[in-house]
Amino acid sequence: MLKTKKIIILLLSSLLFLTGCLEKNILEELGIVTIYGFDLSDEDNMLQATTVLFQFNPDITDASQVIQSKGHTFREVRNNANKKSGYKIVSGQLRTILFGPKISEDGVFPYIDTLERDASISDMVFVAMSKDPTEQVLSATNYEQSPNIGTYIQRLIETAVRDERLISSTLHEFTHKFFAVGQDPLVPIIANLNNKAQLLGLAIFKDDRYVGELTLEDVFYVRLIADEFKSGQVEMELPTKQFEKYLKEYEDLDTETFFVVMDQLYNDVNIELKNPDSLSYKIDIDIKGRIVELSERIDLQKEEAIKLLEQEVSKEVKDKLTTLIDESKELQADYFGFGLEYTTRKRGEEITKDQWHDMYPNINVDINVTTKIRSYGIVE
Amino acid sequence: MHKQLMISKDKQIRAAYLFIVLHTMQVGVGIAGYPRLVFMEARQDSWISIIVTGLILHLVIACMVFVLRTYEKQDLAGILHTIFGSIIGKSIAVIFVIYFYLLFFSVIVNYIEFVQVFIFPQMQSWFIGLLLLSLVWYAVLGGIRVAVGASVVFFLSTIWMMGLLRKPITFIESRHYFPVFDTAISDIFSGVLISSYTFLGFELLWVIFPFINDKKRVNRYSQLAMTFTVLMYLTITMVVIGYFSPTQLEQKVWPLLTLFKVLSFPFFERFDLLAVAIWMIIVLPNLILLGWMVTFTCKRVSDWKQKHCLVALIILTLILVWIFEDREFVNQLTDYTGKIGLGLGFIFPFLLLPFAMRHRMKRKKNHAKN
Repeated sequence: MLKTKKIIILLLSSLLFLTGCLEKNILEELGIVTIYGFDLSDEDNMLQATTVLFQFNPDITDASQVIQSKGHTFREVRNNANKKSGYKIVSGQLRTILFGPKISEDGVFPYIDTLERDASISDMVFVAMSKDPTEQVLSATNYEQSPNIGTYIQRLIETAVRDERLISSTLHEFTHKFFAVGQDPLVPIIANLNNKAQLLGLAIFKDDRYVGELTLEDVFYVRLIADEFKSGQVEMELPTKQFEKYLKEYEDLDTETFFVVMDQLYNDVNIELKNPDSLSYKIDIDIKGRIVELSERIDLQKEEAIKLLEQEVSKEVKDKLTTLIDESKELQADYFGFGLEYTTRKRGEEITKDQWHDMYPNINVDINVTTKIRSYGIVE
Repeated sequence: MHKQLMISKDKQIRAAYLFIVLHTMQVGVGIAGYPRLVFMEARQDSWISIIVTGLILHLVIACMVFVLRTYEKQDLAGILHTIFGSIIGKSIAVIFVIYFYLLFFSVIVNYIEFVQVFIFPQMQSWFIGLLLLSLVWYAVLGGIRVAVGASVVFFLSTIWMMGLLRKPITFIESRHYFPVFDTAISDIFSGVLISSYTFLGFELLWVIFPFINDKKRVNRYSQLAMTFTVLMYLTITMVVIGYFSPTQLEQKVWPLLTLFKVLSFPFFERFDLLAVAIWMIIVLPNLILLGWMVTFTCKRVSDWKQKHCLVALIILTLILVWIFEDREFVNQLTDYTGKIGLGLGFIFPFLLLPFAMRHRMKRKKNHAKN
């Protein structure tokens, strides 16, 4: 009896050491991918990837490695990349996926899907695009204090998302919007200017294809409907004419417009589908914010001046939104997510993404904006 | 076979533990894939399916407790023996042993597949099986008290994971829940069927009943356990439906684990990998309690020693795990077990109900005569 027990103990303790026989990943022997750039090659339409590696080695000062490889599939591209590196390439720490111009116009979903299926890739990876071949963007050498260009681009996007200057587009959010009927993804555009990567705007995707572009200023207005602000910031250009009588006396009027900057801004939005058959929407937007900068000195102690300012801001927001919605209708890309509202109201029948894209230009939107200025800095 | 089970005081457990034990039995590998399965049937009205299943579950438990109370100190094998006599009773009990074993086996293969997909693609199935089974061996040998104690510890060490849903909840798109009541009744019913597979595990009550010290409270705690499980499944499914868009959800084999892919802490970048590892602690009580059920009922039917049944169980499992490795098989087995479970878990208690009633009536008459 004692003997069998001994044998069992021996067997069980051997299990402890057997765990060492598994696949090993030694940190110093790994090339950790922080960013992938995907392009379609011009000559043969093959997938072309720019892989940026990061290596853990105290002796290396420049830990950034950029590798080019080609192939038909993502796996092949990765294996080919591994031919050019002595390190084992792993993508568990991937932070950003960058798509080049041609591949974005062709449709990025097949590549997104491959990455999504890989259990080792996080869903918090950012999806971005560039209008130049990705190699050009990723070869930028000025990446501040970040360890390499991949982490730098991630920080760039992350900071902008946290400051509410951008609409977040992680891998999860991209696929979520791609699959949802009645919503299209927006993706940040990254460009290399003077050897430094920076944000240029937002790319509008219809399904998974790049169709248009928004400037960073437009993002504010899109966010008003599609997302929410907790403490946003905006700069607006308003006509000076109506404010003439509220201008401080020592000011001469020499410009036609002036600028207002609001911050601590939060919004409350209510989208309502009034009539599913005629596709008429009613949007109520409440904006509350604080004035921090005025390019002309307007007397804010007068209540009428503030009233007028609120009105003008509301009008400006409404005008901007109307043009943006018209533009999106032309592109048939519903990045505001009006279709989501439609699918939740329409009972009994399910529509497809394509059907919604065809219907989208026919929607009517009635926008109603109310602005409330809460306070205006430390000087009245 | 001994008709009456005599269980000494030092082997008994309190009814309050039923709450945790039954709950941990119901929650296992299934929960990771369940939200998708129910969603594919009942769409955004899945919550109706879950609530209906919950109500049925309460009814089944009430019925089981009624039957068990009638025969007081008996377990399933004993009851079957009393009702159907030696031969038929034993054969039905053998069917149950096989069914319990199928449950055991489907839990272990599903978890092995999990580990291979997420963390160690190269790890051999039999090796993971060996690691798990060595723990099962240890706990089952210790008897029911060790098995129950282990589940309590494991329950307490995993229930905090519900808190991890906090982050995915911030990504919820509330419009995915509408329009309400848009699903056809037949689809809701299919949702109920799918859900009932996942809620299996409460059959433990058949076997554990004689071991319970304060039998009066059995009903209360078992019902509480069901409510808790149903609420947990409901919460998880609702979060998953809000988090994924419909078509996206249909493609995720384990939506709950994919949900964890957004978790990241400053000290732990990829929390989802840890979640798979922690999942073992969720699965272990399942295996331990099922292992105990199989071997105990086996002992009651065959007069073998429980220890010998356990050795047979472990060797058989290792061999089967080694032979059947492909995913198609795992899926088929899970479906199949679920279908059997629908009959043996949900319908069977009601079949015993008339016998139990007759037994009670007879007893009353006897009392009246005396």
